[in-house]
Amino acid sequence: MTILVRSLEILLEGFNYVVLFYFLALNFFYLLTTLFAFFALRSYARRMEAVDLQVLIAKAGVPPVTLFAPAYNEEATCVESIRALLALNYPEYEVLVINDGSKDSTMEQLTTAFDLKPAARYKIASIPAAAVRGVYCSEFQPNLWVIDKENGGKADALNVGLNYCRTPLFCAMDADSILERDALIRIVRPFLEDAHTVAAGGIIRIVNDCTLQGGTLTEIRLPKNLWAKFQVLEYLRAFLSGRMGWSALRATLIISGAFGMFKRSAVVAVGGYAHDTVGEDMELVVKLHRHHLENKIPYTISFVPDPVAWTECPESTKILGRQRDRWQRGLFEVLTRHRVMLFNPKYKRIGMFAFPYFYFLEMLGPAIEIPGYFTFLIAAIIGSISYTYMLAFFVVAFIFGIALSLFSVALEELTFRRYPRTRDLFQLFFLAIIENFGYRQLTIYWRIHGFISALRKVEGWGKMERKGFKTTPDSGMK
Amino acid sequence: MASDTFKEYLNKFITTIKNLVDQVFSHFEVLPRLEIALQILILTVVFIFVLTLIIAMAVVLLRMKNNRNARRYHRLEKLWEGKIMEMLHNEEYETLPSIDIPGKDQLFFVQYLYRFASRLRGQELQIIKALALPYLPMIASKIHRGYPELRARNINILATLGFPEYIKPITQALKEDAPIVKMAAARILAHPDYPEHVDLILPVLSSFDEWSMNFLSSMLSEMGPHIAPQLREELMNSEASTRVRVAAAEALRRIGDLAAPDSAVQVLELDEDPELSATCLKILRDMGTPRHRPLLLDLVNSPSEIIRIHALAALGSVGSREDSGIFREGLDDSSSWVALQAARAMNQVHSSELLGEIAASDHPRASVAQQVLAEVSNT
Repeated sequence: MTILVRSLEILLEGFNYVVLFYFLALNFFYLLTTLFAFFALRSYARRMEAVDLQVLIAKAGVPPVTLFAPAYNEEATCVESIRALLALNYPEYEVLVINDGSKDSTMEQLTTAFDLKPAARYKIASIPAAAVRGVYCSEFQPNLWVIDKENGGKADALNVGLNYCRTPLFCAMDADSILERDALIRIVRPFLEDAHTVAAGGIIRIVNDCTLQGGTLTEIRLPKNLWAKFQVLEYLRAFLSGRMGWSALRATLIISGAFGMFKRSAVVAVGGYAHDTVGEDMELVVKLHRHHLENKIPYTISFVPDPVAWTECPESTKILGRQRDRWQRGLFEVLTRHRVMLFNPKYKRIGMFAFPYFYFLEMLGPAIEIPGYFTFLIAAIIGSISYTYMLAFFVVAFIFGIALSLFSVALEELTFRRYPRTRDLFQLFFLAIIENFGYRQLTIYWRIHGFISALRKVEGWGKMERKGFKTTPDSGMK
Repeated sequence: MASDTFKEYLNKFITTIKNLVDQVFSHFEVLPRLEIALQILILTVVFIFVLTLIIAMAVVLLRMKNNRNARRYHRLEKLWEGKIMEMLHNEEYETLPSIDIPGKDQLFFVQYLYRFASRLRGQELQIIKALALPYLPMIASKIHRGYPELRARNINILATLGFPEYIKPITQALKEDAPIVKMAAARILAHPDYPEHVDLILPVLSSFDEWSMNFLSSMLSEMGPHIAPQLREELMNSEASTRVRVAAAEALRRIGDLAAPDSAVQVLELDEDPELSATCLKILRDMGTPRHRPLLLDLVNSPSEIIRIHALAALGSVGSREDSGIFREGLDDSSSWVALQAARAMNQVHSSELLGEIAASDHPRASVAQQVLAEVSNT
């Protein structure tokens, strides 16, 4: 019996060291990316002062772009989103909506709103994808095309878009997202300034309770729903501190599927999007890194912090949980598929630095963190850990969490200041504190759920519900 | 007396804090060795947290300052806008107008005029430039100091409000190390009224190797047809970098230089870099003649996809119906892009009947023909 207790104590102690190491490593990376993000954002803000976007549009010879908007059961938001896409400030672009076999009235709504008629359009690439039922073009918006296809998932829809894309660059986004009017010219800038750029990601912001007029946001404010508010803070942290920091370290591993610009030929060369993962956006970026590093082709993948895609976020724990479950599954699928890159010097800083971070800290993190809570508790009960140590550890985790969130809010205020209401700023400060009591634990639960789902090879996206955008009465168009 | 009381309170406060810190740390002294690391960690995080609180407070102060500045700038802009609009509507000036601006607002005034000027032309722009003139020496003094982005911005301001008067400092900026400053200067100097600047720009063009080809060629073509001889020379210069030559070729095409096809043919005959050859073929597509047909007939069978695409496009432009067979073969090319170009070329040489037949048949590339026919009917 004594041997058993002693073994348990040793086991607990060992695991507690693992948790401690995980905690230190995770926060080291968070701090590192935040600091890099600070300097990168400062430099970016200065750079934008020297750039005249109108001159870029008029004189810089910006390349034509195709916008892919895959739509599946998007009847609530698709028409408003597409109208916004057609009002973008960019000299030459096509909008390619890919209706992925929607079961609701998405296709009918698009047909009526944009007067769609069947049209001939040749398939340029041959990436395998589900059958196309028809190709349509708007009668009054010649740059709007709709491809109606059998259901095959988002990656499949994007591959169909790639097959029909005839411009050197394409922009992948969600059909329910709203791009800011200058978003395309801003995200295309890295392609003008660095000819080796193959992909660039933009920032995703939350549109819930903001007001939309004629495809343009007229009032930006924090959502009323608490879950959505937490997500605003999370997105600020993820994009301004995380992605900006990783981009400054030249190790961008994720470009959000909701808004990213890609060089078409590079994506076709790697075979397009993977069908068999729910993390097709990250998989594509990892694949692009692999392809270019394996073939010694110079390339750049970057994050640009000011082209904005506004998107609706879940407002219920049920839907939010599904989304986080899917994200974690996607992460797991991508990282295990490309595990050959892990600590492989052939893949330079991606293999030696970014990939291990995502593999051990983001993918396996929840599997350490949740058991960590329990082992701490058990260790405390059986008296193998000092209460002081435990308390100190939790206080440290709590304070550090708040500190990182406040840093992100500070970065937002120092650069873009998208939330003009002072009360929103104070709410963000307040959210940075209260999210530690429940919300963070919930996200970890969802992530471990996703981790287990990935181990069980659960497939599918999980149903998402949209409530639609808040629009003013004169927002109609045609 | 009051000062002594203050000192007393301060000493008491410091003693209280010291005692508190001693109490906290005396607790940690009893912890084993491992917890020393924890102490360091806690201290670090406390430090970061305090720093964050300071940043948070700074953010709040910054927000207040920004709001105050925004209100002030809004008020000033309204005031200036009223005056400027009045000046722009008054068409009879014996001397150009001016507005007296206090020192602290001068920089903001020039930046405001810079934004305003981008929407104006002719006489109206001259009035804006006259208003800016007294304050431009201040901007000129800043183009060689500060961070590169700020220098680039000041160059843009000088270019909009002080060109050509301030051409000298802008030309000097071409020698800067920072690419963004150099590029800002180059774009301004690439002006249609100053074709002689091409001799300043071409030597530095290779330092913009990272920039996109469209960006570089559009800059060169801005200067107009007078720079064509220098561009042709650059295109033929085998010592120059391929990217510079491609930029020169693309600029010649955009300019529409009628002598460019001869240079393009010479480059194509040397069978150089595919990107350079493709750009030369674009010149032949836009300005070629039937005498270029034999060369194009060779190139439609090139192993390089990009060369086949552009050779077919050029042949579609200079060829005739007798080339329909070649285009029909092009439809069977393994590359979809080549097939699409072949169909377009077929249409260009007035073989739309043949294209129609293919569109209606079970030809594997019938959909290409359908698309091209649809494109034609839409235009």
